[in-house]
Amino acid sequence: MIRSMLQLENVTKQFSNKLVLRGLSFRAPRGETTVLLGSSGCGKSTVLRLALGLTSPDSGRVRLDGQPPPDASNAERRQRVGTVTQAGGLFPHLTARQNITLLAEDMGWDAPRLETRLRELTDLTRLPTDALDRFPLQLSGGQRQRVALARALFLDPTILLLDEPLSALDPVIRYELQRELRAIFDSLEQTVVLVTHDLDEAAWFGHTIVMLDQGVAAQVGTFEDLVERPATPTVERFVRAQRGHRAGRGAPCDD
Amino acid sequence: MRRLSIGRRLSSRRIGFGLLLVLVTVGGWLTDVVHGGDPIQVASKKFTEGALLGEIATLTLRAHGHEAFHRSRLGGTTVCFSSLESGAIDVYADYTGTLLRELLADLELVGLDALRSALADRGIGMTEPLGFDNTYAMAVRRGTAESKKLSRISDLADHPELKLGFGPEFIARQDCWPGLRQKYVLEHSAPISIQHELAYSALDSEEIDVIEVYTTDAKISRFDITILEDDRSFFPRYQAVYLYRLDLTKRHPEALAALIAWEGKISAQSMRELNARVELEGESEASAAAGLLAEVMQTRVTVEESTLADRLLRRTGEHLFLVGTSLFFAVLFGTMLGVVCFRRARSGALILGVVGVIQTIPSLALLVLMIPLLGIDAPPAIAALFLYGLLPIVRGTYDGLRQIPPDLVEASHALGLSRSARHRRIELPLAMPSILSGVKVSAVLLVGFATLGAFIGAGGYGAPILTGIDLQNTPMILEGALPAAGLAIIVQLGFAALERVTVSPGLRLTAASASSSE
Repeated sequence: MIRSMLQLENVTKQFSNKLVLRGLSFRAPRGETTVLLGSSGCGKSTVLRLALGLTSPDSGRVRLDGQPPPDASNAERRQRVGTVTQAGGLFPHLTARQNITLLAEDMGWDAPRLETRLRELTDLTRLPTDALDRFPLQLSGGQRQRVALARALFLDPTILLLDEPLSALDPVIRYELQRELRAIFDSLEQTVVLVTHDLDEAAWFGHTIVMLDQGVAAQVGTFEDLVERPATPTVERFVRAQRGHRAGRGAPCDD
Repeated sequence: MRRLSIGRRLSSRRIGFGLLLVLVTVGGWLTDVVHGGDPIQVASKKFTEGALLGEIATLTLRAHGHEAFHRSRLGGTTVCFSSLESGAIDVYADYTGTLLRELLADLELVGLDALRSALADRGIGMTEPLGFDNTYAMAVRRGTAESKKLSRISDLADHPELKLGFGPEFIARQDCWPGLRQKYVLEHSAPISIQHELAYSALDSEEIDVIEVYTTDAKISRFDITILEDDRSFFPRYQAVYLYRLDLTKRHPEALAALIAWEGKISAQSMRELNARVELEGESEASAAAGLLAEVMQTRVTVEESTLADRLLRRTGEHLFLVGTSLFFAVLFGTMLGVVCFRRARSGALILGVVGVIQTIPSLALLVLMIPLLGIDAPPAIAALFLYGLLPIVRGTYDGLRQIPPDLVEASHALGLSRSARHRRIELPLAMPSILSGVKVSAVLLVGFATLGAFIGAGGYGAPILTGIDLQNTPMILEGALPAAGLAIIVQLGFAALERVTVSPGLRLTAASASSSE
């Protein structure tokens, strides 16, 4: 059994003259949460698109469960990967229920089986039943992300890719969802790759944190590693910026 | 690679070919349906006198026990003549001058015998003249004619004090006033330019003394007017004749004999009277024609006048058939072309270009272009309407697909949905509002355009509009225009209802209406 669910080796990727990844390597171990941390535009989302085979690397190697990522000819392998994006990626013309069951229906599941699985997931994600028949625009931001999560988990994916899933939510709801989500991942022993720019969130979720800078992994380690032993000055600046101004007005400006 | 295959399957060449095939098949089938059986097909040019002559021929044939069908006011000279040539119709009335100077002008024929043999080469026969000319003439008040002893145009030369009032075209055309002036050496001061419709009243009120008229003009019989003889034969002769397909001699020899019986029987005076009964007194063409049959041939025919409800019902049926059939094919091919435009940028630019150019072809030109391919009646009208209906639908489909947010497209790929599920459950519903609004625009457009079908005998609401315009009969125009407007509104409402059914309520929400309770 391959220990790494997702593995990138020396991957480079360029989009119209902009070199986004310049030799990125990291592995996301099975059953754990790996966080890709970095400021916006550092290529975090590109990693998820590479994993899904929605784009391919210019050089280097991507392995998903030990195999090359799916392409258009074996798109059904993408069904084994669950994704949640910042906006949820919900289809506006489908109700919450239809969004969640869309894929399984397409695969020919019968109604009782769909219904059972739907119930399991609404329980797990604590999605109110009356929200199921609403359309995405009728749901709150938090409900939308619960729907997106339920959809991503529906087929019991081998890996869950989350791209800034909570960053559009207001702080209170976000805090609650962070707590619920980690409990869910732990209970399922789910392999998760989470992309975020938020150090707090990275600390909360990450067994391992991959700090991205200039298209390479500036540091791979735990939260403590990043805080206590920043590998580069950039990592140090990033950490300090995110720890912020909690010292309050009492602290001097020339820290 | 697989992602492109829908584009490949629907490559523009194949679509173009399929399109042609369907059009030709359907056109052919419709032609069969419409021309089923073997009644004698009479047609007429689209003005009162033409329609009357068509009616006279039809009633005569029926009186002799033939099944005859009259496509009243089928179209202009070109439409009628090419329909006769192609065999879509069997008989219509035209004028020798029109044949010699317009239709067969290239041949530079002189005389009726030359004309007859040139027509025979085209499979067309011509009767002897029916008795009257419809050409230009000079007219004066009867009082003036008597006091100044005017009976011929050359008499005008002795009275240069008379004021002339002619239509602008008559003044300008070399074969009208300038030529006339030279031929008769007329030294009057320059004629006043006056619209033909107003000339009679101006003559009557003695503001002018001489006007130009058409010899069978209805109004001549209603004003006290004397027509001056063209004693130097300046004006070309426009003798009315029936044209018929020569194969009619074999198919229905007795029918031809009945038509030939009209040779020399219709005087300018009686034609004027018939025109007046229809144009000035609102009598139907059929009943006026029946009057002539009784008078000249001592043949009594009963003419059934249709009720307003009958006419409305029939025209609604015809109109819906035109719009429905053309819209059906426009939706079928328009959406497919829209998909191709979206999937293949290069073919797409070409398709959008071509479909856009079609839109700029004048509708009448397009209709006339269709006649050699599809004959007259509904098929060419449907083909033309189909072509006109394409652009909004192609555009709507293309825009609808293009406007799907990229993150949703990516989400559908990331989920691992099958291709068909992606098209069916994601792309089509998301593009639906735009596709539907394209179809709606097209449908409303076609309801309006279909009225032009009347120009080539396709019927529908356009028929009373065209006839009404010719007769300056407003109620008759409204009989077509109001139902057409009503139908456009109904179509609009129908699509609003269809939108409620086919567009997901989720797409009709705006962000503002979204609740935000957790």
